[in-house]
Amino acid sequence: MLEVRNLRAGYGAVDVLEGISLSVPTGACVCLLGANGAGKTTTLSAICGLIPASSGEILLEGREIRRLRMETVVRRGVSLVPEGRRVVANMTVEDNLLVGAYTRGDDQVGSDLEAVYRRFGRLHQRRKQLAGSMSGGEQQMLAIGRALMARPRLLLLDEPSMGLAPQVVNDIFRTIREINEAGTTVLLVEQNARKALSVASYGYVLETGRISFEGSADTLLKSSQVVEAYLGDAS
Amino acid sequence: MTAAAAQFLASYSNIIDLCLLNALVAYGLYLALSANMFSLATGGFMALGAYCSVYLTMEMSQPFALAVLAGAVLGAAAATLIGLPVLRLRGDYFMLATFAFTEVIRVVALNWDDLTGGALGIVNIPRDTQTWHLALALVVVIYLVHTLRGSYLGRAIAAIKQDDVVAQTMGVDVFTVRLSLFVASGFICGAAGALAAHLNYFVGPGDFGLVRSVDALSYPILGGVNALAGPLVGAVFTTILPEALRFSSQLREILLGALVLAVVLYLPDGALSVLKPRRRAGNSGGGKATAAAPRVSP
Repeated sequence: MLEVRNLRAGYGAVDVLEGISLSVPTGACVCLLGANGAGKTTTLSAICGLIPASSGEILLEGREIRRLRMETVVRRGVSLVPEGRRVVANMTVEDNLLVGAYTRGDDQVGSDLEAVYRRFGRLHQRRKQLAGSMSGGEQQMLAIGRALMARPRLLLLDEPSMGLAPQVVNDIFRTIREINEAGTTVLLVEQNARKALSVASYGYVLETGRISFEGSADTLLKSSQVVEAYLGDAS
Repeated sequence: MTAAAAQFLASYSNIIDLCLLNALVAYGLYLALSANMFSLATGGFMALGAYCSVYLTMEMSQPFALAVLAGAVLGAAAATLIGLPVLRLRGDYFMLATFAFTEVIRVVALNWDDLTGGALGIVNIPRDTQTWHLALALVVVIYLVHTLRGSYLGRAIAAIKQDDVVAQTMGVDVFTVRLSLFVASGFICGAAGALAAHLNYFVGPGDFGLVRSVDALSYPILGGVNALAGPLVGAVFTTILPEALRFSSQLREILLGALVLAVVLYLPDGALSVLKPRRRAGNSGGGKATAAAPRVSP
């Protein structure tokens, strides 16, 4: 589905990513782990065209998308759930979801809206409410639902667990697993490595702009390097 | 007695015309503001519309309707030309650039004597603008804005207003949407300039400077940009208020300023937000977003 080769990108003249390569097979759920400032968000931003990549290749289903702008990338089937959720606070939940369907011209938007409401019953209850008045977990559900409204084939998630209570994090990750099992390919960026590796089958560890480690979820969970740096000693 | 009544009516109809005209401009600005474009180009657009239409009616003997349309198109064309480079700029830089545009137009109008009459302006312009022209233009614009608000594009614009990146993530071509809104704003302001010129018998370079631009910006902001009626209310309010405060002579400007300040301080979402159910004072932690929709917060 997605193939990134030797990607360099950053802000202004400074490259944050110093040539990273990763691969997300169709149907898989792959995670990208790393500490603050490692370049996780930069990676996602470069993949979807929010920031320009200075060199390297980004192939979506074999086609180069590196020079495309975000609106085109979305139309090619890639949706981003941005860091910090970023719902449109003074718009209703339903309008937020409909913004997600902006690129679509088909007549299935209504049934997709119903599907999102079935998946997130809470959003249905609150559909006429302003998005900014909801809790963090509900806003995260909304951000995911909004991304699904574009009918993505590849879903990029940027730190979906950020700032949420453990119980809510569990709900969110269960949802991510369900979305993946329903056929959407997922690239998940997380600091919560243990949670991420519980849904992902393969993981990359990003350290100051380079991939320092990669492997299947099991390998990463057993690797002392990863355990020490990202999983801590507890549990 | 009857003469006094007629005179009263005459001056009253003047105010109505002015309210309608300013409301038209207010919706032009509303379109720009709806995507966070604090444009000071209004004066420039209106000047282009005014001089262009006056030239067409007075020098070329063209029909009034054609002249207004030409003024609007010229406003839209100018918006495209300055929008293309300037819309890449953010916030205050955009504002400065649009201010510069208005100043350039004013200085050109001041010095291009053959076309604009220079500092003396153009007098004896036929009074072709009727109240119903203004009313019709306003109704059409309000209807279009209303339709836009309920559309996919309208929701995309609301998303842009809050967060460019979110709109981009949803596949919205933010630049093109902004440019279109700015051009629409230029079109409306150009038409308003043409209508204004044929309302007052006179145009001069001082009519469309910075003051005009700032006034125009204040209408939708004072009325509120979240409600459809906001710009209308703001324009009518700001137009009538100086007349209502006439009794206070010198104090008028001070009172006007104080009132504007009060609205900005206490009703940051515009005057119309008094109609919305408001939460208890002191519960303003979340800012605008929490203003409506009752909800129990943790």
